[in-house]
Amino acid sequence: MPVELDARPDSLVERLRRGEVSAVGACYDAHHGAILAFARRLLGDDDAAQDLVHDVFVELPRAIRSFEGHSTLRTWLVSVALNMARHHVRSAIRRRAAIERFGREPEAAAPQGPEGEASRRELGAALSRALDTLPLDQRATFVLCDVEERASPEVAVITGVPEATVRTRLFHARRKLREALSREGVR
Amino acid sequence: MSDDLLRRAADALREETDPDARDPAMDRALRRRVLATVAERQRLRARRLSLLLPIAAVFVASLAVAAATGAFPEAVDALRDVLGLGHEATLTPAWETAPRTTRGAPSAAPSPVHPAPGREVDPAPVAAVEPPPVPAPPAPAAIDPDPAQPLPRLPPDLPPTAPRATALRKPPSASSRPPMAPPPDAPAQPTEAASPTPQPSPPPAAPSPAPSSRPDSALALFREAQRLHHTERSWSRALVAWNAYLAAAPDGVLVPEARWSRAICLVRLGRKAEARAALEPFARGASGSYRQTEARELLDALDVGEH
Repeated sequence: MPVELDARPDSLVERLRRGEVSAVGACYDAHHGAILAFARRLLGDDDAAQDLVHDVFVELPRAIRSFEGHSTLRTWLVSVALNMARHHVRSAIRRRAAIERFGREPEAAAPQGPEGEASRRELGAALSRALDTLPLDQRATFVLCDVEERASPEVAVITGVPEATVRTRLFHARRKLREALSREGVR
Repeated sequence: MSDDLLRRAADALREETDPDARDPAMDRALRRRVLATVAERQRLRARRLSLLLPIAAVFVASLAVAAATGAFPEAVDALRDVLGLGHEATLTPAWETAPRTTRGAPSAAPSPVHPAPGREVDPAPVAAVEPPPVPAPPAPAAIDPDPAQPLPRLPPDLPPTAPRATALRKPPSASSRPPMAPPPDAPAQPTEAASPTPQPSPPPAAPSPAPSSRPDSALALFREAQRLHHTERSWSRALVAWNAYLAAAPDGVLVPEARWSRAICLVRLGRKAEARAALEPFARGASGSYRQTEARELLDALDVGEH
């Protein structure tokens, strides 16, 4: 859905194009939560997610030149994060594989709660491991569609592919994830 | 495995990574890191600009001064040397490839612009196409050989200046071409050709034009001579044009190249004595190693043709 690009000299986009550091700070305050959440869901690793968010906002003054206002600034930021995620996905997968190889799980961020909460955390962790078996495009499509519950037209804008491709990728991602979770014995 | 489990897993992952559940201290630390990196990058970029801009300004100013003082070909040549670019790979006009002897540097290896001596000078063709001695001086029409005829004693790529560049550059139109105005005391072609014992004649000394217009007019003369030499291949007219240039700019940077081209014209015209006289300074090394090998081989070829 195209949106009007605010071309006022004092608009956030214009200030970003001028390379103002304060504009980067304002953009971070407004959007970093959504970008960090997407990065954590996509990468399954908090450290890698923070690195990705850092890279996105550091590159923002240069990348903003390609922002034409065809989507909201937040949607565009998610697409920038997705484009920059390839390297981070690989490092997150390596890190997770190393942790599993040494037989120790990363410490939980929150203290162990009731059984239902622990089960939910295990389910989320199992899904993150299963996501590692997917190629990045299917992984990102599943995260955007099923985890973040974005509509397929928006996912098509973020991933830069037609909606039909989004649906195809989602179909294959779900099938592979079901198989992976089944192999892990998750119920 | 049902879709329900996958949906529950997706819900679990979403709730685990809920943006509202993040650590504010971590957010602040990440924000500081981001802004510090952005500011550092901007500082680096500003520092790079502050270094590069003066260098660029000095470079542009130097080019402007070189163009204004007529030293542009030397500047381009020097820049090429600094950058390690060969002369042969460039499509620059021939006047930019001024002889290296002007700077005292040795000449480069033979190149397409400066053909290899073995390929360039073939004594046999020289002897074969040597016109038979005729008692009467040839008519002016016969002096200027038709380029289509096999008369030339040298392969067509002999001319010393860059034929590729000349061919690629569009010849100036008749309207835009600078007027070809040889000095009044420039030697007339029929007179030279009719001379039974032609003496090696240095370019006639002509009164120098006004100092302000001299570089431009001399360059125009040089270009016109190049056009006549390489494009029209009219050796007699090119000879007159080279003489005109040498008279207009006797101490110009392109004088060695003009003298060489003038010698080639004399060879083409069959005026051996004058050609020999024009080639000998090059063979002696008066211009350093510029065209020395080619001049020696041409002199040998002229000797073979005579004997």
